[in-house]
Order: sequence, then C-alpha cells, then structure tokens
Amino acid sequence: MDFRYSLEQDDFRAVLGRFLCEQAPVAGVREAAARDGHDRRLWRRLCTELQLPGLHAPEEYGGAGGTLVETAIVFEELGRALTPVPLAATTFAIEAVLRLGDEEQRGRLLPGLLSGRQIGALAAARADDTDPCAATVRTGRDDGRTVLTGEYAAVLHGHVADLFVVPAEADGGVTFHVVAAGAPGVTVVRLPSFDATRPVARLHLAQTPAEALSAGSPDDVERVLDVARVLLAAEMLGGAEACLALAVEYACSRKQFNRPIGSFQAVKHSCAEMMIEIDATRAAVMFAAMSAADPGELQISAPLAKAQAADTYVMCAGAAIQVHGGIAFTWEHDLHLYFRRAKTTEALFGGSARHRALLADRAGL
Amino acid sequence: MDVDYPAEAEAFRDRIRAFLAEQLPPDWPGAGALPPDERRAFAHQWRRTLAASGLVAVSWPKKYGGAGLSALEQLVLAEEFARAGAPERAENDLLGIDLLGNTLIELGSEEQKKYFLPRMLSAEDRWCQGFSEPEAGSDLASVRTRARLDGGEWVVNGQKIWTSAGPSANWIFVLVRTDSNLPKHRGLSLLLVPMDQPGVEVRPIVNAAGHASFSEVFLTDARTTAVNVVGGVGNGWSTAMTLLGFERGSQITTAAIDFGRDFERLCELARARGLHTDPRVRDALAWCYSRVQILRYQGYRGLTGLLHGRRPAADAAISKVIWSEYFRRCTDLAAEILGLEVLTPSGAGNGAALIVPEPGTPNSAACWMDELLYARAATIYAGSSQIQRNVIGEQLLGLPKEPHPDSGPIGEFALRGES
Repeated sequence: MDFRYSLEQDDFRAVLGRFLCEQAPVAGVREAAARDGHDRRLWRRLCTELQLPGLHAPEEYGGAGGTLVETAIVFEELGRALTPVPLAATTFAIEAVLRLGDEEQRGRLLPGLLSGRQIGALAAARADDTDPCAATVRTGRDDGRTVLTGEYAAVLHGHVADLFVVPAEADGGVTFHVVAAGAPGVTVVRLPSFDATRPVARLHLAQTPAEALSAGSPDDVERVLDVARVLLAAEMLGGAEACLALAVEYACSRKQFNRPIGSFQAVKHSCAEMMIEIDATRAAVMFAAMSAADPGELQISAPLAKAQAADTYVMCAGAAIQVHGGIAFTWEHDLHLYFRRAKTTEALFGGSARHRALLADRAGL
Repeated sequence: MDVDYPAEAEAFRDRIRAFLAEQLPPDWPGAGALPPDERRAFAHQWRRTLAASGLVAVSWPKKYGGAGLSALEQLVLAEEFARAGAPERAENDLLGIDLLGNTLIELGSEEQKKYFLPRMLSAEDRWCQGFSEPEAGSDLASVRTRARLDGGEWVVNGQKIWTSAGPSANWIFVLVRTDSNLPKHRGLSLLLVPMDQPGVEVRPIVNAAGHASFSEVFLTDARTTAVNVVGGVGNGWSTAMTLLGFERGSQITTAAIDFGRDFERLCELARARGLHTDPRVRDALAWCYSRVQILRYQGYRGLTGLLHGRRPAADAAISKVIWSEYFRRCTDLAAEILGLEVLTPSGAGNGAALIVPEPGTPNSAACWMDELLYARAATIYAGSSQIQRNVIGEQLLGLPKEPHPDSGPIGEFALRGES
C-alpha cells in the first residue's frame, strides 16, 4: 500500500473543500451556532449531494462502499471549516449499528442514517463508557420488553437526533442500545455548550423502550470507539491546520516595529512548532485511517492519533491566539471558535492522558 | 499496514538477510556487546567484508564501483543491517560515501568520480568534513577559511571545527572563501584537500561525555591541486546544500528501527525498577512510544515519496526536530527512572555512539547517562533546532525572513573579525 492519498482522494478533498468554502463560510457557521448549532439546509445538501454520512459504509445498506480514509478526509475538512452539522454524532451511531447490530437491524436502521433522512447520536463520549460500574443508564424489563432508565449528560447534537445509540448496564456488562427520539420516556434538553458549533444535549430516559445491539463482541465495541477516535483525530487535524493558516496569514500581514511580525523568530518558531506537530499528527491520522481494517493496528493507532491530535489542536489554537494578540480575544474573531472546538474535542472519550494510558495498556508497555 | 516494497527490493532484502546470516556470528547480539577493543577490531574487519562483498554503496553506478541499484535498495540494506545489529559502515563513510560520494555523483567531474569514488569504497581514502568554524556555526555562510590559487594549486588557510572522525581521515572536504568581494553566500567553493601534508593539523576535542569524538582542523598554507573543487569555483554554497541534503537520506526508515530498539531498552529499565506502573512514568513511556510510531509512519511517507522519485527536501527539517527533541525527552525519562543512580551511574557506557547505542550495548545507567549528554548535542549539530524552525517557517510556511544587516560584500566583515 502507498502511504499517501490517492489522486481520487485528493480530488474529493478539493471538491469538498471548495463546497464548504462557498456554501458554509464562517458567517454561516456563526449564524447556525447562534441558533442551535445545526445548519439544516447545509446538512441536507451534504447528505444528498455528497453522501457524507455513508462514505465508508457498505453499499448493501445504502452506503458508498468507500474506506475510512475518505470519511477521515470529510472529518478533516469539516473540522477545518467548523461546519455545524451532526456529522460526528450520526457517523458514530452508524458505526455502532454497523459493528454491533445483527443483519436485520443493519438492514432496517442503516438506510435512514446513511441517506441523512435520520440523524443519529451516539450517547457515549466518556473514557469509561464500557465500564458497567460507571454506567448512568441501566436496562430493565417492562412487560417483557427491554427498557432503559437513566441519563446521559453530554450527547453531541443530541437535540436534533432522531435515534440514539446508548450504552447501558445489562447483566453486569455494557450493551449498546438503540432508542428512538420519539419513544415514551425520552426527554432531550439542549445544554448551554462551550462549543456552540457542536452543541450537546442531556438525554433522559425513563422506562424507555429500547433494542439491544448485541451481535458484536466486546472487541467490536472497542472498535466502534476506536473508529470514533480516529475520525475525531482527523477533525482536529483539520482544525489545527486552519489555526496555523490563520496564524501564518496574520504573521505575514501584521506589522509592528516596522516589520511583519512573522519575521521575528519568536513568532516564526511558534508557527514552525505548529507545523511540526501538525506533520506528526497527519502521519498518525493517515496511518490510522489507512490501516483501520487491521484490528491489531487500529487498537494502537486510534488512541495514539486521538491523543496526538488533541495535544496538537489545543497547542495550535492557543499559539494562533498568541500570534494574533488582543484581536483574537474578541467575539468577532474566529479563533475562539477553534479554541472551543479544540478543548471540547480533547475531552471526548477521555483526555490525552487517558488515551496514553489506554495505549500503554494495549501496547503492553 | 506495511508499505509495499517493489519485488526487486524484496529480492534484494532476501539477499542481504542471507549475507548477514552467513557473515555474522551465530546468535549475534550486536557489536555493542563487545568490549571496546574487540568492537574496534570487529568494525575494521566488517568494513573489509562489506567492501569485498560490494555492499558499501549499492546505490552507486556500477562504473564507479557501486552495485547500480536504487536509493530504495540502499534503504532496504540500512533497514536489515539496523535490525540485525550490524554496522552499516565506518564513521568516515558517513562523510565520504553518503555525503561527498553522492555529491560527486551529482555534481562532480568525470575525472573526480573515477578517481575518488573507488578509493572511498576501498577505504583507501577516508573522509572528514570541514564546514563549521569557530565564528561560523549556524551562520555557516560566513566561513572565513580562505583559498587562493597559486600556480596550479589552491593554498588554504583557516580553522575548521566540530570535524567528526578527523584522526582516522586522510582527506577533508572544506568549505572555503575563494572571493571576499562578493556577498557571503557567493564567493564560496568546496575544495578537496589531502590531509597527509604539513599544512593540515588535526587536534581532537574531548566532548562533554569525555569522548574524543570530534576535532579542530588547522589549515596553514595547505595545498591541493586546482581541479579539486566540486561543483565549480564560487558555487560552494549550493554544493554544500546539495551535500547536506544527503545527510538524512538513508535514515528515512531506520530512525524508527533504531529509536524503537532504544525505547525497548527504556521499557526494560522502567520494568526492572518497578516504575512502569507509576502513572507519570507510564504516561511518559506512552508518549515516547507514540513518537517512535510516528517516526515509523513518517518513514512510510518518506519511503512512498522515494518510490515515486521524491527526495526529502525542506521537510527534512521537520524530521530533524522531531527525532532530536524526542531523543532528549526519552533520555530525560531514563534519568527520571534512574533516580539517584544518576549520581553514580555504573556499567558500560554508550560506546561513544552519536545517537542510539549499537545493539547489544548493556542497559546500564552509565549508558543512559551518556545518551542523556549526547541528546543535548543532537538538537545542535546538523542544524540546530532553532535553525530548523527558521527553515520550516521560511521555506515551508512562507514567513518573511529577518532583515539581514550582513548582506553586502563579505570582505569588511571578515576583516573586522580578524582584527
């Protein structure tokens, strides 16, 4: 295998980048963020014209039959543009159904999600969501049916989801369940969100009917989370690159002491540091996406890429603010939007130290 | 995932493996396991075996004594030697074969190639480098060593420093000023100077680890014939840049192998002291593990580029920063694991290895403390971390250069320094 993007993948990235540049400029991002963090018209177009939710899903369920590399490119570009759509939420829900559902469930649940007719949301974002002791949602029986009761505090784009995938404690383990947003006992409350371009909601379940996704093994559950980690890493890579681009542009044009500030080594080296870590992150994300079909590689590269990308994004967003100076600490400037996305995405599935701990265990250090 | 090597390269890999299995003693632990005297004797003998087997410079054209293979086969050889713990070459070969030899193939005259290349392969000529000077470190273009033509010969005067493998060399390539009336990047030339003459004196410098690993070289009316200039008179800067471009070529995929081996030693060290479960140490170990994997991924990318005919360029600056700063961080971690042992490190040292020690080197506190010291040098030599960040900022990101107060003719600056 070549360790580079194919020409088709480069073309796809260019097309998507142009589309976002024209159809989803930052002014639109801000408008959507001020409403509820979901640009419905844009989401419809991304689903129908570009088929974004289903790129790496098999064609038999309505996907495009691509690989995780294409999906990672999508995350990267939407991360770069901070596009306020429920892509991550829906993709993670798709991945859960795909890996953990049985044939009947996949055939029934996936087409709606893959086509964009339905928005999915994975109600899992903590480091210990597969630990039954930490579960905040529990299964029960009501009239012979499985019901869920409990609460999940932070569900990405939960307020617009049609369908939730919820990890719940069952028989001393954790099983992922599918819950329809319209089912009895479901309460969804949009929460004040630090990152308004990707708001979160609280999901409350009271004796809510649910169906278990129990066709997968515990390894498959980890795989779902690992794919999510890789895609978030790709998204953070795009965001970090956007921060670097803003910093470089400003450092070339802003003059102080009668010189562009980018000619000062203190500023130049800060930008170089961003480039160095972005380069490392790109290598990690590319490798993770390209080798995702190999479970042995994925279980290493996923937590590795997530930690590397989060450290890089947070560093780049912070450094870009510093390069800009006071102007970056204004509401009008876009950098705080990136900084907010960086800090919140860093926390998903556990921070970088948690991911390194996971990596240490998996690598047998 | 593995990057696919072409079938020819894999066939060559099999050949190299067979060679190593045949030539290395059974259960070879690596030269690092030998006492210093035996290690030197082995290295000498091994170098002769390599020359006799035509494995010193496989990527060179056949007519100059190479095997006529590609840079890819050179890389495969480096990988297999690194895995087997076999030295790939002698220290002078890094300067002769890798740097000057490849530069001659690209820029040298036919006479220079025919004369010098075979003599490098046989180790009849052993090369060292005369670039840095006491007043020209990061600002390499400000070298003051001067050469003037006297009849059919260059007469060279000046002082070079940080010359690796000087005492074992008998030729030196020197960056000299041949015209002081031009701005500093012009008026330079790369000369080839025999060292076996009264005008060349080598004085070893003892480094911070206590090893004599580099030298000062004093040139006093040293002479070399007029044709011994590479790439043309006055083109020394671009010739030097071409030469330095060969510095990291074969390390594309071996950095991850070598640092991976060193990382395993680090894990052993932590386990032996029961510290691998300490959360702080474990976090740092996982970070180091990630870096080594990233070096591996970046190696795949470099290899893919090589397969498509792309040589590493300004992005080599990124690799240099990543591996050298990683080296500092992993040796700092080793010192943290050693605790009070850092006060009286015991055991064998690192064998004066510039980067990671040879395979087989005992996992001793003394070795790690040597590495700790050598890691401080890694972010300085071959372009300091600061210079690399300038290169990244200016050449990769397009940030504006600093205003240069020294852009005029070099003459007055050089004279001022000599007063």
